[in-house]
Amino acid sequence: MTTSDVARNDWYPVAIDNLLTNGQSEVVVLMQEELTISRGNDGVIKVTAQDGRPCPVAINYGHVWSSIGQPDHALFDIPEAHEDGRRMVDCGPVRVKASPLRVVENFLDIAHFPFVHTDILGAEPHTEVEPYKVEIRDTVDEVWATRVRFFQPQAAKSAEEGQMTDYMYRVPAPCTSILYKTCPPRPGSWDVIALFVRPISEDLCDAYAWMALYDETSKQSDLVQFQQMIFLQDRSILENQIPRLLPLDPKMEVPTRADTTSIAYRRWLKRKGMTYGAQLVAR
Amino acid sequence: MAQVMNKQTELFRFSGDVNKPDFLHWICHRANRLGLNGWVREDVSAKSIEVLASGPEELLDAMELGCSLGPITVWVEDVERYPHKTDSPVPNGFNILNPVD
Repeated sequence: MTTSDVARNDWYPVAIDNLLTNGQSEVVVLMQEELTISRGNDGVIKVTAQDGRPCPVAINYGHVWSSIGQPDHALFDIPEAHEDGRRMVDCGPVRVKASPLRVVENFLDIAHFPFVHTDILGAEPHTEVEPYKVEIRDTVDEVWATRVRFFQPQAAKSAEEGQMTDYMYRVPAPCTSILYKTCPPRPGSWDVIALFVRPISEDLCDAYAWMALYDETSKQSDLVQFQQMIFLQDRSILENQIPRLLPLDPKMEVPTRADTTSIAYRRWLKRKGMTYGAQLVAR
Repeated sequence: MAQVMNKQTELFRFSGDVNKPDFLHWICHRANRLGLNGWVREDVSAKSIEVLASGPEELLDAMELGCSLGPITVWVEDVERYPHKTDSPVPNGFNILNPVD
């Protein structure tokens, strides 16, 4: 399968900004192309493809972003990243032997919480996902799920007891998902947890978790460990999914109401023509 | 004792870029997989696909969700869904009916 133009011309995370020091460079793979990310002694970051062509660069949300194509749009905005008082947490990459689209879809799935993140993000018998609203917002070309409520035994590192947690999900780009959830120490505000995914190939990727939290007490290392523990629990599930690519034809699956966000995400990918990491015909 | 799931009958209309022959067979396959009774037919003038399906609500939900994505050759822009009242029960099985103009 060729890399679709939609996939080529989008932004992807290629490095963590503050881990790249002056005079240092590192090599990563983006959609089977090697990129060299280097920070000069003047602090300026450049990204170069293997054939020597310069690639576009954006620095935001603690990460260096680039593309093997020519994005005709700016990197998506996360307004909460600019709010005073939030702690920004870069959790680092986790390699996953799965389609990048599978990784994003898994992040959108709330029904697995009691079974995969038992006694942390969910617990039996609180397994029911109440009806919620899902829409493809044409004005911003994003997928949104709102009015999502779910019982969580420990909703965040800062949470001391179980509670009904409110959620919103936002997909601003095919390989990015942003979760907004109840902020235990600051009712009325949302904690923001994002997953930025870099496709290495159609069935291999690096997933970078990033958070913008109101939490003045937890140690940075504890916040990172909590998020990494959650994601590593997901990884074992993700790496065993069949088919490895995300089906855009659900012929062999039986989606239920709890999968409404997943179906909206797949519809959106289909409409955009984002086929990298997708299975087009059910087998 | 096994719990008996309440069956209901509903009419679905899928519109958009949906008038592709393989979509009818795709829907039939899905209905059979879900154990639903009913039929599917093309509404040529309305450029839509009509589905009458009878079964438990949860499986009708699954039918709607799956068809809203459909095979890669179609694009479902809109889904309408109505309760369907009938004096006679929907016959067993799921069939492709002749198109209506």
